[in-house]
Amino acid sequence: MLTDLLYRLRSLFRRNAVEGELDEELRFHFNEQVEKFVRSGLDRAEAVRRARLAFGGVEQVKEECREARGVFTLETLLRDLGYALRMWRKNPGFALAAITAIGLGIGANTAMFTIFSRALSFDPGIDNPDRVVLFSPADAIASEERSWSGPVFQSLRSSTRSLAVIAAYRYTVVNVSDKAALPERFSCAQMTASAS
Amino acid sequence: MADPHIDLPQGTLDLLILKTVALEPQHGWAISERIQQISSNVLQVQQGSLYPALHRLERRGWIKAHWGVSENNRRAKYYALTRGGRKQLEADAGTWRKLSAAIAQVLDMA
Repeated sequence: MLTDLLYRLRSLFRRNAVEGELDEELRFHFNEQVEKFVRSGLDRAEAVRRARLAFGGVEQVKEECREARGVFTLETLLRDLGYALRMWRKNPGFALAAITAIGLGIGANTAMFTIFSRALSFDPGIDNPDRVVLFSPADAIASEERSWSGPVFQSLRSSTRSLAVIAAYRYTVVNVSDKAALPERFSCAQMTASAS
Repeated sequence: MADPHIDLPQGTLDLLILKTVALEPQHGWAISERIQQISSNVLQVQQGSLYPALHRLERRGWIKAHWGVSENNRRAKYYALTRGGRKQLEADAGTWRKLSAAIAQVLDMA
C-alpha cells in the first residue's frame, strides 16, 4: 500500500526523471535487439529496421507504462481541477448558479437531518440504556406479552441477584380534572419506584 | 515454416517475470530473452506487454528496480524480486500448477 503510494507520487512529482528513465530503459532494449540482429548476420541498417518493427509503437508502450505506474488517476484529477477553475473564470454566472444550487441542496439536507434526528431521538434519562432490559413472563403457546402478578413482582424484586434494580409498570386510564374544566380521560402508565 | 510462438494467456506474464527475476536481478531485455530461451522459443514476450507489466509489478512492490551496468557496459535498469514478490510468486505458481493440472485432466478425459 505504502510502496504503491510512494511509487505513484514519485511518478507524478519526479515526472521528468521517471520519463527519462523509461526512455533510457526502452532505448536499451531497442539497442540490445539491434545488436542481436547484427550478430545474427544482418547489416546494421536492416537490423535497426527490423528492431523498429519488432518494437512496435514506442509511444504506445510508454503510455501503457504510465498507466501501469498509476499516474493516470492523480493526473486526471489535477487536470479536472484545472479545467473546473478555468470554467469558473470563464463563466462566473453559471458557476455561481451551480454553487448556489449545490449549497442549497446540502443546506436543506442538513436541516432535515437535524430536525429528524432531534425528533426521533430523545433522552430517556437513563445512565446506561444498553443495560436496561424489559422482562415479562413467557407463554410458549400464545407467545404474547403477559403481566406479572403483584406478589410475583414483590418476590422477584426481593430475591433477584442478576439485576441491580427492578421496577414494574402498567397501563391504565386516569381521569384528569381541575376546577376550571370538565374531567378528561388519559391513557397513561403507572410505575413503581425502582428499588432493589 | 509455421510460427512456433504461442501468445501468453492473460495474467501469466506476471508469473513468468517474477520467476525469471527470482534467480537473479535482470533487465527487461534479459527477461524477455530468458523467457524465450527457457521455453524453447515457444513463448515470446512482446515489449509492448513486458514493460507495462514490469512497471505494474514494481508499483505493487513485488519487484524493485535499480540501475546497473549490463554485460556490454551499458547502463540498464535491473529488476530484483522483493520478499513480497517471492510470496506472490509462490502463491501464483501454486495456483497455476493446480489450474493447468486440472485442465489437463479434463482434456485427457477418455
